[in-house]
Amino acid sequence: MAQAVSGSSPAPRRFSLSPQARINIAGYLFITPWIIKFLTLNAGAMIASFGISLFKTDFFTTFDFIGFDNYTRLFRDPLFWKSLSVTAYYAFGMVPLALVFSLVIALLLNQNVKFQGVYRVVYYLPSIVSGVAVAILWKYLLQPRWGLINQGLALLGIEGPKWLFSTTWAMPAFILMGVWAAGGNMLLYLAGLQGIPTDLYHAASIDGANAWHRFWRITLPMLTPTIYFNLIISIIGAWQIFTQSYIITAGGPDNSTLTMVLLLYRKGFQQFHFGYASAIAWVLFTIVMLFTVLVVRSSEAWVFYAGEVRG
Amino acid sequence: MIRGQSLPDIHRRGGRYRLEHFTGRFVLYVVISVGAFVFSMPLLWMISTSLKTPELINRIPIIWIPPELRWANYIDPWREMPFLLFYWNTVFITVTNTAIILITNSLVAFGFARIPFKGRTIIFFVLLATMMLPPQVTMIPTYLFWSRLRLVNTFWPIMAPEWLSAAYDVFLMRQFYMTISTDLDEAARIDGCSWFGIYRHIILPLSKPVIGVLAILNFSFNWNNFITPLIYLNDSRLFPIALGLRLFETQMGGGDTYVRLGPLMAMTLVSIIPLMVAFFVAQRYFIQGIVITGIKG
Amino acid sequence: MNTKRFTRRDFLKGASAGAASLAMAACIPADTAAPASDMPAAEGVTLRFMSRPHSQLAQEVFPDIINDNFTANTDPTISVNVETAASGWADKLVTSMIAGDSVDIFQAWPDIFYVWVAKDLILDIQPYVDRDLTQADLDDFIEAQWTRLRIRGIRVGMPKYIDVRCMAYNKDIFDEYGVAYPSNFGADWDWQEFTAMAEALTQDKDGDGAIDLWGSRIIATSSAEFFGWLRAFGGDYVNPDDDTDCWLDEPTSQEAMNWVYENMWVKEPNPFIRPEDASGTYDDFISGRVAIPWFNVRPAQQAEQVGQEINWDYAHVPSGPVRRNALGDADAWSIWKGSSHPDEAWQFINFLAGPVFQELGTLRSEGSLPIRKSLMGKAVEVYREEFPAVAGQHLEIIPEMMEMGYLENVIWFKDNAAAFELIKPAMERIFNLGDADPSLMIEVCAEVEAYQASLE
Repeated sequence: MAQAVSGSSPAPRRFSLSPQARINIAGYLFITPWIIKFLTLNAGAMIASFGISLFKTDFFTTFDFIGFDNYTRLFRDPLFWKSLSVTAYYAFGMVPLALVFSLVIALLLNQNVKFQGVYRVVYYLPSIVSGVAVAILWKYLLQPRWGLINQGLALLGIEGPKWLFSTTWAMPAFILMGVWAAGGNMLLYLAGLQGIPTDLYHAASIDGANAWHRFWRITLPMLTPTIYFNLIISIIGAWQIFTQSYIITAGGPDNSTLTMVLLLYRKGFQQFHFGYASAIAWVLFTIVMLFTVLVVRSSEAWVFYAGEVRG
Repeated sequence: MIRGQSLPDIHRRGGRYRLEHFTGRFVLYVVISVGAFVFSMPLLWMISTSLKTPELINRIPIIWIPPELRWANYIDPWREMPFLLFYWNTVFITVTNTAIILITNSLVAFGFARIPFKGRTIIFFVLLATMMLPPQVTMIPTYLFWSRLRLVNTFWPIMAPEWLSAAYDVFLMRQFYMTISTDLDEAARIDGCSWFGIYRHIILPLSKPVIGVLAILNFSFNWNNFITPLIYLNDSRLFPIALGLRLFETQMGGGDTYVRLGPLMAMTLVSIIPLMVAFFVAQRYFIQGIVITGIKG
Repeated sequence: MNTKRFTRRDFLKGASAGAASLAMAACIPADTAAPASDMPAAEGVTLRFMSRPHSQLAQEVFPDIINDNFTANTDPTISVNVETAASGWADKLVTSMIAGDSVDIFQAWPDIFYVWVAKDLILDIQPYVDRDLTQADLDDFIEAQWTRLRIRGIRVGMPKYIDVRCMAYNKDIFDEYGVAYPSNFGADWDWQEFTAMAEALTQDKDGDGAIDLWGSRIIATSSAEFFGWLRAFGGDYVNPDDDTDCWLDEPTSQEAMNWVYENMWVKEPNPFIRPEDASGTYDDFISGRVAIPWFNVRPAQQAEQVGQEINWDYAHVPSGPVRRNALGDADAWSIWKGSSHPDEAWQFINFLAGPVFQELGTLRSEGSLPIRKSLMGKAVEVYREEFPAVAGQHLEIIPEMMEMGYLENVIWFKDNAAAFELIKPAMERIFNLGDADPSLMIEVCAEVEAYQASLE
């Protein structure tokens, strides 16, 4: 590959490529693995699922083309609207909270404390323990009368909410779980913090900037590429929330945790309305896309890259 | 000790910082320790559960220390299920995938971050878009693809897609590469260095932190991944641990699930020990990683 | 304990062939007289069997039991590939059936069958049953289960085990508050007597003003199970003669729901624990929070999870104003319609439902209740032997239930999933949140009926 993309090979060429063409070839060569993956696995599946959303189909007995009927039916389905509002609530609660929370933890764990490594393992841990164990643990923690959380709140004189037995508090409980498992984000911030040259801090402290100023003028701007990444990934992940409601509440009580992906899972795998399920997925896709575009558009104003390549 | 010159040292200058520094450290330790306690709940609960007899497990309020420790939870499963085999499968899949992923992803990310080829912005957006469709809806078409290739019940569907890069990783690495100043590669280009040369000699040596993070994230992901193996593997001799652990759950009639929590927690703990060790070792490495002196921000 | 387990394993693995031939001698017709398929299977056939064993031991020994007793003794040309499935199996099954590379045999239950039959995924085994099973065989099945495995006009599979509902009671609590035990292990009590006991056993033990001992626990939001109480009052989810007619608005169903609702949310103090105060059934029971919980007869599980922590016993469910009724759940082994070896698959599931596998597999290694009446006496013996922790319990409740004949299975709506998408949230509001009373079901039923009637 080194030879192929080299723009400075001394060997004589039959025809010469313009510099931009060479750059293009090099670029595409580098991203070839992804292109192969996209063409074989992603594109086909995405097109197929969009195609399916135009059909009324269970994959076995019926396969009727109905155009955009699934979408129009969707917009008349109260369950769909319910799931949309539930998911939006989660996303708007979860994304900013997790973003700030994991940043704060990363900043704390970046200090020179004893047993730093142990602390980091501990904070990262919840994000690698998954599945049933976590679901069962949270059920115990959130139990309204004997659960650890409400007993802790009682010590502070606060009467804890009924969490998973309340339509108001079930989703906040999920947000709490999400924030608790934000160790992956923390890790990224930690790595981002290492990339900030220390001489910037030295220069700043010579100029007499205090810790607060250094944070706002150096740390935060230098972290914006990581924040940008975490923001987009959190948006994508939050809108696709599924596991908690699938394992812990099955969408209840009274549909207060019926997320969009849980609804589409039910419609597809349990009720065999695969066209309808795909339509939900594509609406979800469009929403996530809109938010991502907003973030990407706004990023020029607030994301700072030291090594941006224009082109 | 370059790293030692980070924030705390700066505080040491001048007497008036000293008191502020001391109380600051005190508050810092309190906050971190309280947080660590909250965050270690799952681990503590898992350890406690793994040593309990079934009738003590589902108790509210939680019994943290069982009166009698049941070590059999750690011993019996090895006899009852081929866990050694599960381990071998997991190690094979995880190590191979992680190693290959890091190489392909860093190449792809380099392409997106540093080479101003035509269509880059839009193609990168397409890459982001591949993450936006919930996997539940692409699962059937993807299965059909592997089924037609007659590769169901092999490791291919679990490994090959990973090797060909992952949108998440590429995005993360691209973000990182874009924070590295372009001054050096422009100089290198003028000196006749190829793109691959820039990647190999300039970017890669500076990517330790991000590679460290991705190594950990991918290692954890592959180690814990159960959904792809569940769908694609039929023969239990091919199961990774994550799938083996699911065998402790039984679905009874009407969707009622019965979980043998004691041995499940014991084996889950045994299975995450390698992850914790890997993390502990790697975090020191990548977090001490680099200090980009000499490159202007 | 461990040596005990070893002997069980060894017995089931190694000695199973011997034990099987003994058992086989007792009932030759079902297994050996079954005519092999018309085509002489010279080549040999490999069946793929998705197995979901209910115990660790079963997971280990199923392949051996099958090998020793089916492949070796019944038909050596058929070999069986046991594919042990983890949770998530249903999604895997659906996906692979779409792709056309599914296993031949799998295990599921009626609410899944209802949907899958409509999608033409399950082979009707009625012709095989008519051809191969004798009247004596058929009489040996439990009626409720056998009838309920005929769904939407086809027979969906052979029963695997039976899961039955009962009550359990904590004798220590009864003694403490001077309440007499349910007479005859509940064989004669009715819902009013049961309610009175529950009221007497609802207490504020530590005197802090909050109830901490409740009489009973009834899980009303479990869609597959609550119907037993509905039927005891003469109601049901759905009209048995019209699967588009929602019956939760009938006065009988309303009465049943009101009975639970009032005891849970209206009465002060409430004798039935509210879900928000409850933990798991077994936890509430052994922690002494609930005196008479609604239960299953699963001695193997209960030996482990309840054991001898408290002094307790099983009781029959009380009879309601109209009848006594409880769930006899019908898990079954089915054949995928796309299987290329339906004849061999039938031979195999007939073996699984036969006396040999029912004893060695279902009863002895899984600890589940077998599906044959002739094995119920044996089941009691085996439980007493294998699970000392429940040896003192009234395990005779098992054959008694069969004799009293009150076990039934749930009947579903035409599009059941769609119906329960409306019913379940309403049930949650009534019973889990307590913010609506059962009359809410009257409007929900109207919605359900409107949708069900709109289906072709």
